Amino acid sequence: MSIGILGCTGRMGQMILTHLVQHHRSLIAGGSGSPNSTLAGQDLGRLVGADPLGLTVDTDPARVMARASVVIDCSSPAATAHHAALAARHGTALVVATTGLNAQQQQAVFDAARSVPVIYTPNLSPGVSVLIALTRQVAATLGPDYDIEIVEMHHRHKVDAPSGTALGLGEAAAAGRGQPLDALKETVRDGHTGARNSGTIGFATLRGGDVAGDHSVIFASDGERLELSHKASSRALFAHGAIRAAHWCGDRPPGLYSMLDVLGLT
Amino acid sequence: MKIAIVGCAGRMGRMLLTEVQAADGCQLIGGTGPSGAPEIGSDIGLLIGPTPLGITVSDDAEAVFAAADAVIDFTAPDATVAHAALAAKHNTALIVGTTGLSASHQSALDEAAKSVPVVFAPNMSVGVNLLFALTQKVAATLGIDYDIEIVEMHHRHKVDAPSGTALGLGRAAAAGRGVALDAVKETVRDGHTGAREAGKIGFATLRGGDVVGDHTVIFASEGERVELTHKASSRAIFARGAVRAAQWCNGRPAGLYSMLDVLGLA
Repeated sequence: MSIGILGCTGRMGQMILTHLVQHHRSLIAGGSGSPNSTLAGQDLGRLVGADPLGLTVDTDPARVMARASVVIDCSSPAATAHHAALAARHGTALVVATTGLNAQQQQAVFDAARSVPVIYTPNLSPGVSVLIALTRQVAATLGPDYDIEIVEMHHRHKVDAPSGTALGLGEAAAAGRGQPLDALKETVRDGHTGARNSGTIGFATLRGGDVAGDHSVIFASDGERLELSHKASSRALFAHGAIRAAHWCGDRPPGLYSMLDVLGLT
Repeated sequence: MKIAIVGCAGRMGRMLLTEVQAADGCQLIGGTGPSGAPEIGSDIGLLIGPTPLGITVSDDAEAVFAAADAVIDFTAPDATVAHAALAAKHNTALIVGTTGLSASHQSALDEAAKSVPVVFAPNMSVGVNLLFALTQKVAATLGIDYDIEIVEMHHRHKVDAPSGTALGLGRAAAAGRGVALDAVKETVRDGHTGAREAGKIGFATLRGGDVVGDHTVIFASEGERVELTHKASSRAIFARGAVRAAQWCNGRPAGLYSMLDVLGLA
């Protein structure tokens, strides 16, 4: 197996590259970055402060896919949609580590999963995947007497809200209640909101500092609250998860998979 | 169903009286207090409101067990041992929420459970018992890389530590790892402890104010933490759970049951 990294010049891309350079040097098939990036053409090893690898940041993702059996995509939503189509054409397995995809971009990912194995998951850490599985179970067990609220906090640079993980937790909670999230989602409270609508799932978003990612799902009833939380203290965790997913999906049949599949939690 | 409360004049006892009175299909038929207590002989209804019920607080536990279908006991370990013998003698179901029971106290419950249904739960709330189930599952899924720590806080009047619930969570975590809690329990850290030993389950106890009961189980690894938390804001949840357990015992064969059995989570 050989791994390519799309969007290897970004923060997450470099994290994954660093880990691969340190632990799986021989598996690296290449990395791509935006043609506008000043890092285009830079040696991948040098990029992360290691010895030269003899592979450079490529501006053509198709060339990386032609060499790799699986690619990890941590570029941007628009680029990911494009990469999904390329992966399907090249028969390359795809791990999507990009968040904030719109419906059309998601559709491109789903389409690719008809021809190649695709891992598309709101969050690549083992702990978050456990949290998603628990959230669904608890929502199903406790019933509508328990109001569900989801709180997340991330670093000041994050541009989308609520986070992909928060929405993934909301989907799990809604699924536990047998409903689609869109029917229950409440992301804005401002002014005279009136009393809480029973059955809705509320989201609160905090942004600040360098928080790698905190998520809590709260089930609140008269007399008690259950809170399920995840706190990421290092983004390296997502890099490990992405690489673990890449290893797992290499020889799977085409299809759409999540981290729950990778961890055997489904 | 005829229900009686032993230790009915205390804080928890009064809560139980209220919940039995409010429950469908339950008839409150009596309550006891310790001999010499000022409430002996006074009307039970007046302990929880303005309306007399025509039954008085008794110091004759045997008579109360003889008359009831189920007795709810949130007293003290030695009293609970005596109550277990009375339950077996008079074929009365017993619901035990007493905490701080030693192994020898618990063997009295095992003995009674040979002839009558006994529900023993250090914490009777739905949320806490769900937390037991989740803790075992997460401990099994995440494995030994995740250090397990359990933190609890209760009001300043509580006399035993860690709480029965915290120990129950510890047992669930240990069970998830396939070990006995006693082999991995760490309840004291003071002075030069040395680095944390892998595989231990640590307990931290806080006491103060009027906190009804907070419990958190932390699974901490490099890069991430999963935290499962329960916060009780009213003792009524324990009383409600106990009454639900009493109702569940109706027609049940003899045996020792937990709240997980009552809630269908076992």
